[in-house]
Amino acid sequence: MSDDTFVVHTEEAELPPEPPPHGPMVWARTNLFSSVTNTILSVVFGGITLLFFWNMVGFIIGEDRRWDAVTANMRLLMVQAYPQEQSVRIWLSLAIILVLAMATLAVWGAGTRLSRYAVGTTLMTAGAFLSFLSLIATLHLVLDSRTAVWGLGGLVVGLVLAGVGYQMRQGEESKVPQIPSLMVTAVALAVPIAAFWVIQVPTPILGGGQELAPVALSTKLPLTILYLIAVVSYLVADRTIGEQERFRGPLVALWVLSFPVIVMVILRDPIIPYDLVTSTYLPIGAAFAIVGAVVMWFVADPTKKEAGLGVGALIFVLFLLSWAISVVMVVRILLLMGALFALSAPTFAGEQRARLRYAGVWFVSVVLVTYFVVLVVAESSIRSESGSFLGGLMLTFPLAIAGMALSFPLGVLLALGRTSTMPIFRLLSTAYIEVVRGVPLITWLLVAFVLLPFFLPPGVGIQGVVRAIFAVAFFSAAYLAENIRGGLQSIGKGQYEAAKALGMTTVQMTVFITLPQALRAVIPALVGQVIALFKDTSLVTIVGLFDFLHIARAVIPNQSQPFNFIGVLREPLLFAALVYWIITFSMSRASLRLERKLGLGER
Amino acid sequence: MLKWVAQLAFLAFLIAVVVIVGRVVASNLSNRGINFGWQWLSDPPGFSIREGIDTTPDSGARALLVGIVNMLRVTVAGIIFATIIGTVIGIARLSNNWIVNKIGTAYIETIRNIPLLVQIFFWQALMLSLKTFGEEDVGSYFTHSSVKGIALPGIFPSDGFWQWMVFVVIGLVAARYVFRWRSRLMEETGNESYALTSAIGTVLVFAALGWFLHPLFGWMSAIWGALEGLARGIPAPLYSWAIALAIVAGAAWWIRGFFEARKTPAGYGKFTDDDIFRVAFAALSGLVIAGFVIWLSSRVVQVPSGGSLEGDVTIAELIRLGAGNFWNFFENKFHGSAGSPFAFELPSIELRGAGFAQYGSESIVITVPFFAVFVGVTVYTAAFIAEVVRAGILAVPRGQTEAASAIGLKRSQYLRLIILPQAFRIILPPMGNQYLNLAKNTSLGTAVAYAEVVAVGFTLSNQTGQSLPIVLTWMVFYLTVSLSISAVVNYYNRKLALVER
Amino acid sequence: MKFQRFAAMLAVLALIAAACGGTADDTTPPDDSSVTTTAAPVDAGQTDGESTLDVVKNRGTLRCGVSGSAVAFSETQPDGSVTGFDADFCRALAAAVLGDANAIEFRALTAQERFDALSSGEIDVLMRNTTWTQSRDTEVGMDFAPTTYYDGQQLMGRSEQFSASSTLADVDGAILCTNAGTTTEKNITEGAQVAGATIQLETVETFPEAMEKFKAGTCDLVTTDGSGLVGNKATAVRDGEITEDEWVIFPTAPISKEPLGPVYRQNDSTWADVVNWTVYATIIADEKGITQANVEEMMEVDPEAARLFGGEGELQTAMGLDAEAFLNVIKQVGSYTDIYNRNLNPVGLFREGSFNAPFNQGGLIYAPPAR
Repeated sequence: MSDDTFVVHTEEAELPPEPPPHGPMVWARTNLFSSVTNTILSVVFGGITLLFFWNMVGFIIGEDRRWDAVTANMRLLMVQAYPQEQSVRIWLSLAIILVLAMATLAVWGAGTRLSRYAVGTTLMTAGAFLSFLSLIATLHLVLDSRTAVWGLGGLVVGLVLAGVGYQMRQGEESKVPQIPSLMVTAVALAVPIAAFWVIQVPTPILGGGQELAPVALSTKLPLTILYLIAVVSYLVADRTIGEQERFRGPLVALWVLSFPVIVMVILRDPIIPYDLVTSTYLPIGAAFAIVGAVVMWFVADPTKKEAGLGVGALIFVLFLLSWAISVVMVVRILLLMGALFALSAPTFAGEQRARLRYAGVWFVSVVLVTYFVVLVVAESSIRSESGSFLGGLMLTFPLAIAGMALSFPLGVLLALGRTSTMPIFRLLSTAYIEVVRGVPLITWLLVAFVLLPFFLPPGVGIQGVVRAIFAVAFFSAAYLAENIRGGLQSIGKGQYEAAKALGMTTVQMTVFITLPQALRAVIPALVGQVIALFKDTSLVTIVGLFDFLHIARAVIPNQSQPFNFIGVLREPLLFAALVYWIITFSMSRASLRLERKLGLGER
Repeated sequence: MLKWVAQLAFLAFLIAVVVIVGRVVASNLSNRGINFGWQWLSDPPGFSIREGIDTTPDSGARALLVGIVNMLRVTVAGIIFATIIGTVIGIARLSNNWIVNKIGTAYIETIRNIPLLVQIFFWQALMLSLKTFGEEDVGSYFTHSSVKGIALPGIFPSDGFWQWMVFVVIGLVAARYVFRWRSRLMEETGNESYALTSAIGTVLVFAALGWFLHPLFGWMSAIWGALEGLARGIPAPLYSWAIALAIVAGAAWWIRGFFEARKTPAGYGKFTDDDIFRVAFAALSGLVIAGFVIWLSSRVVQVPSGGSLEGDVTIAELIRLGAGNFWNFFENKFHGSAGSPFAFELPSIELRGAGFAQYGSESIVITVPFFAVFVGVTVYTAAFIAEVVRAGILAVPRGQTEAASAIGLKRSQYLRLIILPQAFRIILPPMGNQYLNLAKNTSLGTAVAYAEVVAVGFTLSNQTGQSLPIVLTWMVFYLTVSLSISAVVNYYNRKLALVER
Repeated sequence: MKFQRFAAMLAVLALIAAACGGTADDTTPPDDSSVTTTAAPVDAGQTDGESTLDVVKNRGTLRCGVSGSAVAFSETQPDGSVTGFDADFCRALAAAVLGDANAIEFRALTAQERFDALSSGEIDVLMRNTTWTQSRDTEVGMDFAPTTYYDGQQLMGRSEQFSASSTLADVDGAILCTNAGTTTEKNITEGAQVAGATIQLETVETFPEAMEKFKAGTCDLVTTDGSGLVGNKATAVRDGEITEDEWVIFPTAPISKEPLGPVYRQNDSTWADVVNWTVYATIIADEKGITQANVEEMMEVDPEAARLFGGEGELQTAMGLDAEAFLNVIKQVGSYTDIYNRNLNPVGLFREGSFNAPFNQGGLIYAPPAR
């Protein structure tokens, strides 16, 4: 569960010691056998490690392992019931995300330069590790008198890698950082991509048994193309050098937009009811956008003082009244949004330019909100048999992302509430945070799945995925709030006093001065929370959602046709563990980089 | 002014929402013909439980109690072992031995990045790959592991245990004084006085004495008997009034502390709205809770026949019964001639019922679900604790070490006297967080059929349909556990905090 | 200038979005009422007085609640499709109402949420191994269609300790595994109590986990509905894990009655008729020896078949269905035997001699006449 709330990253504390320019014997003597105790420790733990890998590799390549259950169900694990003929939509979504990610890397100037020596060391370690595993595998295969060709192949590849790494470490100039780290990553990623074209995977045969077969073209071709797209888009975006600043804002906006667009438009493929749009949504949206823009322009006038509050209250009353009559949902949403905009107008009040900008933001927001309401109302043309177009890993990710997106604003509000001087707000926030944090997530999930129906008016149901998102989000918000509170409390008193001296209101001070600093200070904790939330999404299997883990542990061992995988539980579970590990590990590495780049914790 | 309007408006809005939702719930329940209540607490649950203090509970409340005890069992064991493993791994990551260091790193990076649920499933699968046993394996073993669990030799409290405990308690009290005396001695003379060692030695001495002398305390039975008579003699309502009074006193104590903290030589200064609200809220909630206790304890409940109380009794009478039974327990334990304090049992495999080979009922058996949850949460939490410990040790400034060796302390001394106390202060709050997480994570046991409180509650709710009361019970229980753990951590935190000057 | 490049990127994203958004040219817009009352994540249930039949017809797909992970009853396949006995009855219903057995959305539900999913309107019909009991029929607000599968709880043990004639008294002292259901734990606990046997019950979440523990030897016995036991034993035999007589299933008369069938909301007799008669149609077809293959010919010969599967068909139109509704069922999905054999034979469940044999062969599968 949310254990990452207190992650301590002190990776950089141990700077790589200046390696002595001697051979492996000297290295072993200093690092393994420097004293009697050390020698005993080395022997004992070396033996344990060896035993561990011996058994692990033996298990993985065991003759009666059913890895074909994993390969045959790869589609199911990734996207569950998403129709196969539409899978181009998934690849397209991935491509968009990749392009954005690469542009982000380029524009933020991510990545450092590594020395040939450092790269060589990594390569040598990786190669040595690969040949170590391959050696064990080969021994196992030989002892079982099976063909050991793959094990030997791995051994050779590992030795070659180690050799190349060793060569790279040679020479004096090899310690000067000059190789871009992103290039290293790109080359490293090319290896698995290339491997897809070479390796053979266990595949089930109709009627029982399994055989080794090449990876399906429908898997390796799109992956290769994606890889190329990523490389090309990085190279293109990298040419903005010198003008990155201008791209940052738009890029963030694109990221924010991309997720609803991908999920609601690309993956869901809505059938937009154009006659309804022209008859209802277009006029409503236009009216709100134009009238509202004028209102916002009016209330964002500093001389009007608190007029915004009055207007906001008025709109809020209208919003409440709108529930008494039958009206299209979008009107209520826009009214609520209008109330919030008007209420916060005094905070953003300013000169002509600021007022115009405020009205402009309102206009764009109305357009976007109306557009997304249309998307939600429109029916999906993706006819998947399991009803939902999200499943497998493609459910796990949206769960985590949507959960985070929802929990963030709530967490900020709760943190502000808890540090507020207004006792009722503080009491309510504190109670919320402590109650939610005090009870395990699984209980909240059960509440959302077992109790929620009692709280809804008859005839209204909420889909399981949405329930899970809300449960995860409300849970995570309490943890986020505590993190952000830590940030708020770390801000010096001087900041508050300076803000007061400038004549800022409390809201202005919070929005422009304290909150941004607090958020920046707690970025590592927030990333830790994202990782925890990602891991927490695996709990939805207990309430029966078809997420990645659920398919691995409950669906695959229940398949009797066309292949019989009944009772095959350990292989999918191990695979699930590996996938979760890769994702979470990369996230935590990325957060480490980010932390170092922001220079946090070094004052 | 505006602030209060906004707050009250929000509160009114919230109450309105609660009222509306409440009406929806009521109408939904009546539409579906469901009546939520607490009758299931005393009704037979209709299922048996795999392990725990009572495998065939006769009431829902008892079934939940079994779940609670199971949860606490795995939590306490988990906290102890996670602390040990986590500390070892944390120190291993600081080791200069390459293999040890890398094992520590690999452990943390692997464990932390895989969801706990996946790991629990993995440990279960691992356990299921062990061998089973049959009739031919009947006999006694020192330890035995199989797919039915891991059987360990056990030490059980025996007849003389409670008399012996009197010695231990006396020893603990004595040790406290010894510790203070030795510490004072060290401060005065500046010489190493081995305060902790002497204190532990004192306890051991008393425990050893008690091993032979404990029958001496048989006479205490009379004291417990007298206390029992007293407890049963007090009118029942007095109990509820005493509890209520304690709550009010607690609130009053808090308010007194609040004023105390605000007191400066210049007087109390100006009280903000917020301060007044705090005091008023504390007073009000104290009174309301006390009132609730009195109201609740006058309620009448149905008690199944068979005990000393039958039929309709008030909750206050039940409390009195409990107090009487408490002293009665000790009275019985101290009765008569006492044997040795402990009994030692080896695990055995025996034939049961219609001829099934099972571990003997006297064996201590770690079942598969317990193993999966226990190892899962322990290994998982240990990874986080290791990071906490490492950070705590690294956070002690280098100068402390240098200063310590400059005044001539030995390595073991400065670790024990300088580094660890300071590291401990840094470690404690995050460690408390990890303990909390561990306690909550045991709820994942429900996924591998470990009969802890969520799993039992879930089955109960399936059987009775009483989902709402059961969820409420879960929440009250987990909040109690969470608040208790954080109370303990906060207490030590305050005790250890640096005195700011 | 650089900003233009960004604008171009935005435009590309918008274009992709637009290209992927389908057009409404060939579809009917959603009816206005659903739009006005539907909040973003909410599925509208039917409004008062409107039959589920109209809701399904308007929507164009049938939403059917299944388990999604129950061997042979509703399995999720590697390609994401749902197959099995329950799933096929969903398809039959879709074929009857919409004329297309694939106009269907399956909702995978857990045992706990299934009734709420039905009463909130998230699904139109529930086909998830649901036992017909008095309390569910009366209290929970459900109605039950005719039973499609007669099941009963049994136990499975190893042949060294048990024979087919073993009883509950013989499990004294054993460890039993079962899956968390709604009635399985209660049945076995109460049954053992009556028989005077002391048991230890390990309740795991899903049945594969219970089987895993049984195979490993953690549990001496495993108990659940007989169909699950037979299916698991048969696949183990087929895989060569065990020989035919290594595991025994007992007692012959199950310790509980578990009639499984479709469930729908109370007080909707139009929809109830449709569901009931879809089931009956498959049974009647079976009684007359009509299968997917020969339905067209049989209609020429048999007047009842002609009535039921088309021809005059006014009985179907009176129900609010097409005249050919049940013909579609048989042609696209099959008769009861077709459905049964296709899904349950591979896991070792056969109709002969079971409760699920036709009534004229000693079973309980029986349908009222179509006239």
